[in-house]
Amino acid sequence: MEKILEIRGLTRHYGRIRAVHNLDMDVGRGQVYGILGPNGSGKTTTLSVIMGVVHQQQGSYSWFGNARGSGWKRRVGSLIEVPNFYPYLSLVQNLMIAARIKEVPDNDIDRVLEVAGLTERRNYPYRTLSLGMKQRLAMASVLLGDPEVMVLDEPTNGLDPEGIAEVRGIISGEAEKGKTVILASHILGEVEKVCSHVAVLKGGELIASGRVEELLGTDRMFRLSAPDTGLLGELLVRAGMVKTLENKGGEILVTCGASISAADINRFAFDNDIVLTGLVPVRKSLESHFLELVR
Amino acid sequence: MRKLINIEFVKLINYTSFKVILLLHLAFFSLVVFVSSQIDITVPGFDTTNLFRFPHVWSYFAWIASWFNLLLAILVIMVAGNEFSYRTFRQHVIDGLSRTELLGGKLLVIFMISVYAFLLVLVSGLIYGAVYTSSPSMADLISGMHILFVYFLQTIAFMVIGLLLVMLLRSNALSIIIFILLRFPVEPVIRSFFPRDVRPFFPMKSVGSLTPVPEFLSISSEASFETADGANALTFSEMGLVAQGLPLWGQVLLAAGYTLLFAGIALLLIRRRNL
Repeated sequence: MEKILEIRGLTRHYGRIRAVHNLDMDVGRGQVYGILGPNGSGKTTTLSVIMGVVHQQQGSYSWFGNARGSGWKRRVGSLIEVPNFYPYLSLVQNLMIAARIKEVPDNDIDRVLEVAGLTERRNYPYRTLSLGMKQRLAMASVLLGDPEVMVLDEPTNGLDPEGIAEVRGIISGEAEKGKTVILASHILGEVEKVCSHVAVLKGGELIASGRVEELLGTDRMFRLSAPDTGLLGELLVRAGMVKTLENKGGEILVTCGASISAADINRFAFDNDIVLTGLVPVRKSLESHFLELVR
Repeated sequence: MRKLINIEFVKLINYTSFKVILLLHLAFFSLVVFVSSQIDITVPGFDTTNLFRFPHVWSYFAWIASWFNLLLAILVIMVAGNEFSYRTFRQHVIDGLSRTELLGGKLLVIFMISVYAFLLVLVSGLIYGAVYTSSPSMADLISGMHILFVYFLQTIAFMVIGLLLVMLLRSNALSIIIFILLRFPVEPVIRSFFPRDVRPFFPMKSVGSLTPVPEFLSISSEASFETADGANALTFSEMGLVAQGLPLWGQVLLAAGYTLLFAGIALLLIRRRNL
């Protein structure tokens, strides 16, 4: 597979803080590569280094199998940390500057504004936008020139649920077109939903990487409640449908294999004359995954 | 290059503070020139309108224009400082500009502002010179015009000092304050600890004295007064009012050297640092 990005032994410390330490990473063409980790785990620093705004102290990275100069940046659209625009310029003027830097014709601006749903605001100054709109404008800027690779750092930050869905839709859409996406996030669900591969960072170090389903596990968790939870739990365990079971007040928390869906549990309970009063799929928290991974 | 001009143009043409300060600069200069032309000093034997005649108008206007160099330096500090406070330098690098191009864009802005200042003095000088000189000759017009290029260099040098400060401090307010304090009193005080011969070599001093005070008295006197050894008795240096400095070509070389040095340091800074 063609390598888009190769990182070897990348290290960046800020004083005593080890922002990134001896990091290796490979991203192939067409992958949607998630970088997962809690705040301060080195995600932003890693992206800042590979986009050339922060200098690494050790190690190296290469884009597109070793492209020299800054020409490769025209093939990469990137949003790192927060949107950076001129508050006094209008959206169109801000995108004009970005388009000229990326050497993209000005007529692409209307297209990306449309994708980001900001066409109506095109002539308003940037400072009048809400946080979510600013984030969407940054997404629009990333899309300028239809880059092969998108590097995104917490792209759903500050967005309302609708905005989050829109941005994830954009990312999935680009991925389906065969684009490579590198996405940093602290939200497990986000990575699970859109990524094919994931690298998990902790304290600046890589603690795991691989395909999402291999790494994050496919176990499902459900919170169940029924008139007699004790009996329900017993039956489920005896039928071998659940791996773990935990009593929580009037509810039970069960972990099942990937083959078992909420419908299976519902049917099983009904077949055993138990009417469920609650059936809620639960996501594992990032912490519990980390604990598993570190172990 | 075209790309950089294009980008800077979009930023500046829509930036209200930039336009206001530029207009202030234009207004202040025009006003001072106009008011000084209306002052009628009636001292027998002296005629101040000589200052507005070719070739004296060039050095006189360049000197007045140099009063407002601070505004130009503030302009550059604001424009470059914004790139840090809006974090747009960072974004430009992410989007694909090199760090050298970041500095290049700002040097282009400085160059364009200097061209504006140069044209302002040139056009006003031509207008006033044509009005006040009774029978202007080409030779009179051209002689002394070289001071305009010296003034051009001076504006560039001051703005590069401002640019270096803001690259170093990354703060508009701090850079403006330090720039003002450096001109007075920081550098003058430091200078005073050094021997007289060394003082003209300090950056603010060497750049500042590129456009010296015109010799008001000798220019406006109708008769000439000479000392025993034949020098003009009405020059400020002869009267001990200003210190003897370097010859003009020496000052030009010195200021140009400082400009290159400071631009070089600014380039080094922006290449080395994280954005």
